[in-house]
Parts: sequence; structure tokens; C-alpha cells
Amino acid sequence: MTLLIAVFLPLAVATVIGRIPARYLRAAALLATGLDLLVSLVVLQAAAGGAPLSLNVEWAGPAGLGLRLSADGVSATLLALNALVGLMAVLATRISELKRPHLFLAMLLAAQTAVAGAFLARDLVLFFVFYEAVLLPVFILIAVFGEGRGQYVALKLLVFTSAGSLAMLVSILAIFVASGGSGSSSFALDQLGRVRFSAGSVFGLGAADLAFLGFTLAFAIKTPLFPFHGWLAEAYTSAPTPVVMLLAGVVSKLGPYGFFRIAMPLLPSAAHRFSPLLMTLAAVGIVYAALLALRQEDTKRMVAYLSLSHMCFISLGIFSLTAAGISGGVLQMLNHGILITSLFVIVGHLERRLGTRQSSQLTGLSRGAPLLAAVFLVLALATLGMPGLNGFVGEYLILLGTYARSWTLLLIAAAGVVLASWYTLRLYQGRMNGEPQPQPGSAEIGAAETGVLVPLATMAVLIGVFPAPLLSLVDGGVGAVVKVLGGG
Amino acid sequence: MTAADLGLLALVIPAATVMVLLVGDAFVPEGRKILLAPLTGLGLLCALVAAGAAALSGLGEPGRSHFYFNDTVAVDGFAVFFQLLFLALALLVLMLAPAYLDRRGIQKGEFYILLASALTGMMLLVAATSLVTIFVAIELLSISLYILAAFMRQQEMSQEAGIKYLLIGGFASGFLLYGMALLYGGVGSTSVPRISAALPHLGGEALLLSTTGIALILVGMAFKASAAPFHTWTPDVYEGAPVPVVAFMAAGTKVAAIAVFLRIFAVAFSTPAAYSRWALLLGAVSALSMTVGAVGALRQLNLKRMLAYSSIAQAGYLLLAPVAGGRQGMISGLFYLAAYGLMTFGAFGVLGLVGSGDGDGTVIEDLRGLGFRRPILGGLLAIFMLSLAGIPPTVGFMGKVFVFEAAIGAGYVGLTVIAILSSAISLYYYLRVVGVLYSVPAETEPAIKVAAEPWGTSAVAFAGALTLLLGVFPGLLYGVAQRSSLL
Repeated sequence: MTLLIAVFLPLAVATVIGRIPARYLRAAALLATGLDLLVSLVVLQAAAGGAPLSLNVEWAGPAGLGLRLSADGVSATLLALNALVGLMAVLATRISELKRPHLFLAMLLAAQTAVAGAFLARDLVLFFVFYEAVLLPVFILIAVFGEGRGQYVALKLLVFTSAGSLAMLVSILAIFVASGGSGSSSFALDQLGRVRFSAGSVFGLGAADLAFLGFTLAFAIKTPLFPFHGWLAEAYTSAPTPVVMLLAGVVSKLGPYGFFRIAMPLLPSAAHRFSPLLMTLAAVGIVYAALLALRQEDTKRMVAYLSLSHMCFISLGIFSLTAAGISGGVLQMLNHGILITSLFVIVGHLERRLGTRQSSQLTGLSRGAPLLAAVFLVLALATLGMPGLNGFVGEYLILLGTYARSWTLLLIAAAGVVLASWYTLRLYQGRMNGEPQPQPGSAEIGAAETGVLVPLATMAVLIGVFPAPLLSLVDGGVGAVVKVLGGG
Repeated sequence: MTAADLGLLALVIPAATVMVLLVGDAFVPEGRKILLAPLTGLGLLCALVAAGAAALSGLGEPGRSHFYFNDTVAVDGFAVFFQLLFLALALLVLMLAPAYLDRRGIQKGEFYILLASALTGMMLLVAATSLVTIFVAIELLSISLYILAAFMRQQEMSQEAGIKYLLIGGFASGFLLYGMALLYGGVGSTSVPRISAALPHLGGEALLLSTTGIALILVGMAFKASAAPFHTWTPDVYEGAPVPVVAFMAAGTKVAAIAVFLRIFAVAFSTPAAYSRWALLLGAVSALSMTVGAVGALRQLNLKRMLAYSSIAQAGYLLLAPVAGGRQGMISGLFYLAAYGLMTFGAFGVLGLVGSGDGDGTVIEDLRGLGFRRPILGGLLAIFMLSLAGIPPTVGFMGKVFVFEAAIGAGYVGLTVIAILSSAISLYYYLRVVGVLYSVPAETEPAIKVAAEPWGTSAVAFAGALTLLLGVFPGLLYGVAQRSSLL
């Protein structure tokens, strides 16, 4: 029941939000997301206590579908992240500046439900339903509220990701059929166990390999993984700040999470087979995105590529198929979620306050804005992986996992770490230090931004100093997957 | 009265309704023909009650048929499933049509008579187990629809639609009849069960005759289902015909034709040797339909034409069910056909409510911002588009999942991949409409006329609600489909 509330509370509020008068809109959305965060923390607490919540209800029994949800350490962590980002996104929403605030908030809340459902689903079709359902609110949010060619960008995002999803659908159905035909089988993840495909191959690829590639296409586009990132820059730049927080903060996590939860445990042999290829793509992506980030004049685009680089880093850890790498990847999902949302909030704030995103016009801002400068510094240092802050722990584990697999890739990834320091410092120093420009006003953050940034920065410090509780929480979930992979 | 008798009664009542309407039309003065709408509705409701009672009182035994009229008509769960669907669709169309006809100044008694006779044809078609009955049913529904397509006599587009449908449909009937004649020549019987029993033992000339016959019947039915390469009439007819007619014909005729594929091809003609031959042919038709429909729809500016091409692609997905065959193919086919009927009626129904003043030239751009100006209609159209595109949580998504599952399970992986690619393309044209619905209109554009029609709106809203409900709880429909399966 708790799980159902954690997933569906935002959607329930979204359906009635049209009736709430504009004055109370913000309060209602804050209440909904705040409550959802509390419920998610209860779920997290249960997982930390070693008794993860789960739910198994008949949904469409004859067709083998069930409403199967479960929150182990990994799922509960991501669920909490989703609720946190949801709350922060509502905090960062400026109701008075929106033309259709009801629609905006309803879609934000609906997206939160869909993502939460995908993180908890333990049934292939249920996962797919939630995974696809994310797209719809995101599409409307970008098409209606996006800047510039919002409609075009939204459609492009949708077609890209849905094409991947459809490939995944084929794989899901193939696995279902291979796991025992349509007699009494189900789509439940834990009952599928080891899938046995019939022999036979196309171009040297067995059925399991092809099924894995179907999943790969979907998750690689969602993450996005190099070279499937064609939709990213436009979507992230066009989306309003709360939407991009959601996109980069949690929606992108569905990619690596899908590999971790679905593709790798179900098809371990194929995972081992494609691991080197995927790791190489991830490593190349880290450096490639870092170089792109360095070249951007538009700060929002720069942060978009920074996010891409980090997502490739997370994927590298997951694809290493080692306990350390996967744990690091999962932990880094949380860290990246915290950091990237705050960076987008800062960029959005600067644009709103100073009317531009161009690097050359945003310099020397720290003078009138000490609080911004301080928070930004903490976040920037965490982003580049400074020890003692949250970015470091995950990064270290990922590198450890990569080291176990390949020296070369470790070197490339390490080069990525160096580049990360470069672009992050350029982002920070370029904005905050240097000659101040003649500005229309101070760049200091207001109450809303403070409410978002200070808690997030505090979390960045806390996780950096005490990573142990989180790590032990995550390790439980990761251990089960690694056990399956080891046997593959 | 047994359950089977009730099922037969459900089939007879619409035919009787036609007779009553024919006589009643003479007594209703010109200008008050709208009175025939409730009369028709009453007849169809009686039939709906009879069919519902039949379904509830134990017709749901899979694989058990009761035969009537010298084995030419079967009453079983399968037939009743579709008869319920057609009756529901006809009733929804009946809620939508009167106001539409009034607006166009074509409120004539013939509309209701022809609607009921087309319905009778469809209901007979899904129950027919003799080649002759199949042909009679098809002609009954086709001839009614030829006239209905040209019902806006003053408009060239509508005349064109009627003539085109008549000529090409007549051509298809020729194929069908010739195929039946050849099959009869090969087997010596027009009864489907007897043909089914004789097929495995044929050899030599008889085999050649019957195989050719089956192929020609397949071509004729593919015309009716508007599957490529026999689809060319579809866009023009859908564009020109009155919207309520299109809603009925797009949803009903196609479902009836595919149901014939399910009953006749996937069950009666499914003896291994004969089966593989036509399954291959039908698979090719399915693949071609999916491709032609998806690519054709990409470039359409008119929503009716776009939906016409999309219905060609949908015919391709629907055909996956008979191609896959077996129990899973049957169940998934029943599920997706019901889903298709609902969402197709809904999409055209919304068009019937928002149609611009002259003709039905519903250009997609005219809908700009409809989602904000008319939240209910815009939202409904968006739901139908998403369902047709197969995006959860709609019934269209679940239907696709089940059909693809059946196809993969039967080993048609390549065909499923084509279906998936076609679905990926289709996302573009369906979602483009959603994008237009929820975008801000330019100030200068005249807002398109939207009539307030409580009956029509509630009909469409009902279809929309079911589309969502069955998408969230697919088990409801799946269970019914399981019980109605022939296998």
C-alpha cells in the first residue's frame, strides 16, 4: 500500500489540480510532492532496515500481467531521488510567469508518478508501461512550455525514445515467449529467472544477444549513451528549468537503471558478450561530451553536455559488471541527480535574472551574490569529484570497477575526470570570477532558489562525508544482480 | 429459449428493425425524419440486450458453436463477441449522426435504414459458415455503405467517394465470388466445415482449384479490410463520405473482414498444408499494409486522409492475429479488434463534432489549440491518437502487446519487427496531431466551428473512457476475449 501511495500520489493530485484556484496551486503541488517525499523516505527506511516493501497484485491475470512492485535498496534510493527532484522542480516553478500553470504542474506530477513506477516495477510489461508513460507528460511540457522550436524538439525526443522503446518491446515479448510460451507464464521479473532461448543465430548473434540489443537500443537512447545523444542538447536547452531538472535529474536514470534491473540480470551471457563494446562507447562518450561541453558558449548547453558526460560515466560503471562498478554507478545516479538539478537551477536563475545564457556576458557575478557563489562552489567541486563531497565516492568506485576490466578504458575515463575538472571550473570561474559586466541587477539567488540549492548542496556534503549508510543500502540490491551476472 | 436461440435473436432483430424502418419511413413526414433515430436505437438496444443475455447465459464456452439454417449460420461466443461490438458501434454512431445530418441538411430516413442494414450485414458476416452466406452478408453491408458514402449528394467529394467505393468494391466482390466458385469446384461444397474437412485430402486438380479459390477469396476480403495492395480506395472514400458513415465503416467493416479471416482462415482452413500457403500470402499483405499505411500517412495534411492511411497500417497489425493463428492469435485478435473499433470510432467521432462548415475537409492545422479551447474534445482526440499510436496506458497499447506477442510466439519475428518499425514511424504522424492540439493558435486564425452536441460528445466520451479503462485494466476485455475464442 505504501508503495502504491509513493507511486500514485502525485498522479492523483495531478488529476484534480485543474480544480484548485491559482492562488493555492503552488501550495497544493508542494504539499503533494512533499508528502510523496515523506512516503518515499518511509520506503527507503524499510529497505535500509533489511525488509524492503513489495507488492504483488493481480492486474490482468489471464494475460500474465501483474501489478508487481518492489523497493530494494537501489529502487528505494532512486524512488527517493525522484521524489526529491519532484519537490525541487515544483519549488523552482514560477507559477506567476506561466501561461497555463495548471497544465504545467499536472504534467510535472504525472511524470513523477511514471518515473517512480518504472523504478519500482518488477514486471516487464508494467515496467514498459511506466517507462513509456514518462514520455507523454514530458512531450507536452516541452511542446507547450519549451522555448524556441519546442514542438519540433518535443517530437524529436519522442520519436527517438519511442523507437528505442519499441525495440525493447520486441525483446520483452521474445523473452516472455522463450520463458515458457503463453501457457501459464507471466511477465514477473523474479519468475522469468534464466531465460532459455532456442538455438540458432543471425550474423553470429543468438536470440539472447538480439534481445539484449533491443534493450540496449532503448536504454542507450534514454540515457543517452554516445552515439545516441542526438536529441539531448536541443531538448535540454529548450525545456524550462523545472522540466530539465526532471529530465536530467531522474528520467535519464531510467537508462542505466534499465540495464541494471532488466537487461543484465535477464540476459547475463549477452551482457558479458556486449560489456566491452558498451564500456568502450561509454568511455568514448565521457571524453566526447566533455570536449563538447568545453566548446559551448551557451551555458545551458554546456551543462547539458556536462550531464551527458556524467551519464556516460555512470553507464561505464554499470557496464563493468563488477560489484564495485555497479555500486558506484548506482550511487552516482543519486549524486548526479542531486548535482545536475542544482546546476540547471543556477543556469535557469542566471538567465531569468540577467536575461542571457551567453558565457561572455555572464562574468564576475560573485561580487553582488555571495550566497550564490558559495553554494555554486560547493556544487561545482562536488561535480568535478573533489574528495569529501558526494561526486568523489561514486566516481572512485566506478574507476575501481573499470580497472578490473580494462586498463585502456581506465585511462580514457581518467582523462574524462581531468576534463571534468576543466569544464566544471570553467563553468564556475567563468561565471563567478573575472571582470563584472554592466548588469541590470544583482545575480543573488532569491528565496525559491535558496530553498532548492541549499538543501541539495547540504546533501552533497553529507553524502560525501558519510557515504557508508547509502553504500550499504545500495550494495544489497547490487549484490543480487552481480550474483546472477557472475554465474552467466 | 436457450442461450444459442438468444444469440440468433440478436441477429434477427436488426434485420427486423430494417423492415420496421422501411415501413415507418413512409409515415414520418419530411423534416421530422430525426424521429427515426430513436426508433432505430430502440431496435438496436433490444438486439444488444439479447446478445448480452446470450453471452452471459453460457455461450462463452470456447470452441462450441450452434448451427442454424442448414449449417449456414453459427451462433457461438466468437460471433456474439463481434455482434456486441457492432451493435455498440452502431448505437454510438446513432448518437453522433442525427445532429451531423441536420447540420448538413441531409436528414433523410434512408440513412437509418441503410445503417441498420449495413449493421445486419456485419453481424451476419461474423456468424456465417457458408460461402454463400458470407457473400450475401458482404454484399448487404457493402451495398448499404456504397449509398451511405455518397449520402451528401450535393457534394462532389461525397459522390466521388460513393462511386469509387462502388466500382472498386464491386471489383473486389468479383474476386470473392470467383474464388468461392473455384473453391466449390475443387471441394464440391459451400459449407465451410465440410470444406475444412475435405481440404487435407485433396490432390491434383482439386487442390489447384481450391488453393486458387482460397487465394482469390483472400484478395476479396483484403479489399474489404483495406489492406495493401488493395487499399487504394480508402483515402478518397474516407475523405469524401460523411463522417458518421466513415466512423461506422472504418471501425465496423474492417473488424468484420478481419473476423472472417480469424474464423474462416485461421480456424477452418488451418490444416497444416493449406494453412502455410495462405498464411505466407497474408503475412506479405500484412507487411505491405503496415509499410504503405505508415509511409502514406506521413505526408497527409488532412486528418481524414491521415486516418485513412493509418487504418491501412492498422489493418496490417490486425492481420498479424490470423497470421499467427492458434489460440493466442485468436485471443489477441479479438482483443485488438475491439480496441481498434473503439478508438477508430472515437477518432472519427471527434472529427464529426469539430468538422468545419463546408464539407469535412478537416485540415490538421485547423485543430491548432483545440486542446485549450475545447478541453474535452481536444483531450479525447489526443487519447484516441495515443491509443492508435500504441502508447500506454491506452487499450491500443495493450492490443499491440498481445498481437505482437502472438506473432512472436508463432515464430513470425521478422514480421513483428516490420510491425515495430511501422509503429515507430506512425508515432510521428499521430503525435504531430497531439502537438497541434496543444499548441497556441496564431491570433489571426479563425477558430474552427465547434458545435455543442451533447449526444455526440457523450458517445465519443464513452469511447474515450473505455479506451483508457481497458488500457489500465486490460484483464476485463482479455477475459472476455478468452471466453469468446473459437479455439
